[in-house]
Amino acid sequence: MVSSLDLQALQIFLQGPISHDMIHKLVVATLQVIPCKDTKSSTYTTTNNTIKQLPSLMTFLTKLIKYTNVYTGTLLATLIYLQKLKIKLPKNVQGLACTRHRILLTCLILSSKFHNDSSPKNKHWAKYTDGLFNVKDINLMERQLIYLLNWDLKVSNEEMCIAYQSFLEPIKLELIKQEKLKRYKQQQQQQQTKERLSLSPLQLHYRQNSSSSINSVNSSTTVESQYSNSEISHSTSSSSIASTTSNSSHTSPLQVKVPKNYDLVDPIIELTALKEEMELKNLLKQLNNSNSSTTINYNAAPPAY
Amino acid sequence: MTGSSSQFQQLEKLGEGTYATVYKGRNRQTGALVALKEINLDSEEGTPSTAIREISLMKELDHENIVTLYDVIHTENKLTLVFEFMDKDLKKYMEIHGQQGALDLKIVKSFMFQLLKGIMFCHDNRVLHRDLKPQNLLINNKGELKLGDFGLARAFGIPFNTFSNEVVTLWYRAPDVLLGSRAYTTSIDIWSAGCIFAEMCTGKPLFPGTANEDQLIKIFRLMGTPNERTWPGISQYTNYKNNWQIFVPQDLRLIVPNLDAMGLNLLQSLLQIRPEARITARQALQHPWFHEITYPQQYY
Repeated sequence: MVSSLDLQALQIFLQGPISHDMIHKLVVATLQVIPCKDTKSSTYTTTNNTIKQLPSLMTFLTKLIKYTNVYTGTLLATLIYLQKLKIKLPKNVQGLACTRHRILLTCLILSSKFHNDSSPKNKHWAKYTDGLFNVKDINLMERQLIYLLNWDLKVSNEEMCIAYQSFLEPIKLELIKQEKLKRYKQQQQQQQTKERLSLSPLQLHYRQNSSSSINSVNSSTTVESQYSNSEISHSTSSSSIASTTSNSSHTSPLQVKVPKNYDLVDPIIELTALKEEMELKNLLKQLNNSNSSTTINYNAAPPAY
Repeated sequence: MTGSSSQFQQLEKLGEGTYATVYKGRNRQTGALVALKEINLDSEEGTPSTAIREISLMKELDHENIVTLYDVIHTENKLTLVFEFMDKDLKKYMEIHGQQGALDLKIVKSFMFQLLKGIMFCHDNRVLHRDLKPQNLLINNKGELKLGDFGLARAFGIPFNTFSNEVVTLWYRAPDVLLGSRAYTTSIDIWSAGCIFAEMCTGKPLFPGTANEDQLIKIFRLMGTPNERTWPGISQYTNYKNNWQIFVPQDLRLIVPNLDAMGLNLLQSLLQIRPEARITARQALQHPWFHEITYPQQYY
């Protein structure tokens, strides 16, 4: 199954521009579909009877992309067709010098016709090949490929995620990082509002008294520097995080339960643990209250630190 | 899918579309009737993308309320799709069996139920039909209704295809599509289902517009003119205008007087002008109006 993270990464990936790496991957896949005669020294007679050197697959595909301005997704879906074709073709066949060009072009045509509401006609595709194929060739190739693929042209997100795993991995890591930052910020905020809401007069008193210690914590800046150096150094918003971190450190010297090496633990785990601990205390307190048959106060402040 | 056309005896012509002609046919071996959809291949275009999509999508849609594609015969200049034979389409059915087109409510209920089941199956399989209308709903002598003509259908949910807003026959086109949306989804088929529902009850098309703008106005006249307050974000659509005549929503009962209150409630849910507010096919099938079908033991 495709996770929502995979899907999100795929979406970002397919909205991006076509890169050299993508073209490279498609060319490699095309080379693997079928063994062909030596293509290096091959020539072909163009549709207007001049003799030209057979272009490399790389050149051929790059030109097609330039001429058609094909969508990234339409182009990349051809990889799935190439993979299916490789399985379907008998092992002992050998193609002509231009067979791979035929296969790659036709996969791209089928992907375009299947995935887009409007796509070029085959006569236009013929023009884009610089005279390598005429429209009659293309019509025949199209029919043959459809037959080989048995009209099975639907490409799933799952197939795309598997085929482009190596491309998606860095996007996913980036997404996870962003999500972590977001959650961290949210939890920091929640923590702050919670503390603000649950401040009992006693705690307020504490806070006012401790204003001198805040300065000392801020000036030491251990928390800030730790974070900005390790986890979030390449994030653009590191400065804002650093400031929230220092904000939260206002109360941390007062919190007895905070471990000494607070700044070394993953902040998310740390906060979750703290939250859970608070909930547990609340629960225990409620239990105690109900045992002694007093009214349960759900909004009860956590035990004073 | 490697049939040859000699397998089938071609009988009378059943209909003609923009890119295909449909004949009645008979399987020479089994004697079974089929529908043969013949598409002449244009040498400049190659295999039309409509045919490519119709075949690849329908091949996977195996459901009692979707016409079965048995075979495809692909030659140099002709593409023939062999379908299960259906007696007539809903439009013709209404002309023949309806009272000035209006069908008996029992039949409307049965057809709506089958239509929504077919739609749900498409949507569950990530296919948008995009051209639901009475002409594309086929009826056989057993009273079965099946979705046909997937020439405009599309796979959805994959982030790499682009959408045209030139979809759905005008009268059945959802307001969001009329407004220029290219980000539409399953709710556009639901709108069409609502239009078909009303049409089966009255025998007349609900919104017989003449052009895009006229179509919108006809919808607003009945459903009320939307604005930023009733439809947040509407002003972002390409075809949005701030000088539309302002209509207040009408009571659907005035338009479809023969439909009971429960049926009107379902119709209202299908014809929500905001796409996000429209009911899904799955939800619609759970609607109490269908309890007569879904829980028959309670109704005798």
